[in-house]
Amino acid sequence: MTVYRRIFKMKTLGSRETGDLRPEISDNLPHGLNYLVLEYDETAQTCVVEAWCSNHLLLKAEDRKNMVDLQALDKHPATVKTLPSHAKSPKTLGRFALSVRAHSPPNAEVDKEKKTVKFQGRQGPYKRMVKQKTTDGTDEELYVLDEG
Amino acid sequence: MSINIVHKTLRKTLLSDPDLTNCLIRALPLIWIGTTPTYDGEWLKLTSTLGQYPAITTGHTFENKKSGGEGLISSAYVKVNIDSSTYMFFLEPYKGNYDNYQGLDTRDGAVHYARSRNGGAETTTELTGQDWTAETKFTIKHENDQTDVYFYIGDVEKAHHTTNISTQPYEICCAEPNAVVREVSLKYPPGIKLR
Repeated sequence: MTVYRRIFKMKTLGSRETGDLRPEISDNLPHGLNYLVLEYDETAQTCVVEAWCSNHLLLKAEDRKNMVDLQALDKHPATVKTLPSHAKSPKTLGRFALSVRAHSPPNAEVDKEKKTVKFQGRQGPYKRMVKQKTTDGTDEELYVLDEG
Repeated sequence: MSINIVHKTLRKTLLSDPDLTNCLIRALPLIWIGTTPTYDGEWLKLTSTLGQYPAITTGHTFENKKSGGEGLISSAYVKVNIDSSTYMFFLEPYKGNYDNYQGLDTRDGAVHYARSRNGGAETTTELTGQDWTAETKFTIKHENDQTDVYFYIGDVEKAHHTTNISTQPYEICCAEPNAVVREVSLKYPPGIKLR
């Protein structure tokens, strides 16, 4: 289970004045990919985007993607070029996790010995668990499935 | 000449058509305990209490049912005095339904996130270069078919998710401290704008 990342310099659409400045890829981003815009250039004609995806088994099949899916953007009309790195790229960009709390019936099954979680008929490993509160103050266990 | 405004009809019209531009929705303070709100003519300020989870919300949900409509867009201008442990702007089917949250927040100390949840499954993207102690315009655009959610900060897209996106309708919420003491400010009016 891996989070894949790739950095692109991309063309933009829209403008700050109209409140919709965005990477050109925004209007037809392939399903399963997510991204962070690291910066827009001064002219707002291009931007630097770091896209990411995961192939974790708890994702729906159509949501699981790999590096080849990111590499497919290398030739996208919106892409100016790929970049090997960027100063603003965060250490941890993306994360998939699953919240498990006292639902009735439970929303997931956890096997803490095998460190696996079963959710909506899919099963896969988790990396760690974090105990935290939700937006209404109830307890939840957040199982971090994949991050990077 | 006098103008007679039928408030009930006006409110019903505004709330039923999310495609109206400059549709101003009155934000309703919710569960603010032990604090007195102040209003300086531009900013509504509230201070939270330790251990509480108050938020400013619309108090009702929104869904884009317009024929040919593509999505729901909502915005708010928010700031907080300490940039940590606060859900700044988010959508939930009802306030507290964190399993189906789409929003922008700080957790894990002062890490800024774009976060999407669907049935408890979560996608987060860590945001860079943020300072939410300054007046910040947050916008979330949600596609009716749950394919995409777009997170705008200022007037630019900052993050974009295609995974773990829940479905409309949503209550629109902002400025929720995560059980910590914070002074949150909402530009009021307008508070939350739909278009």
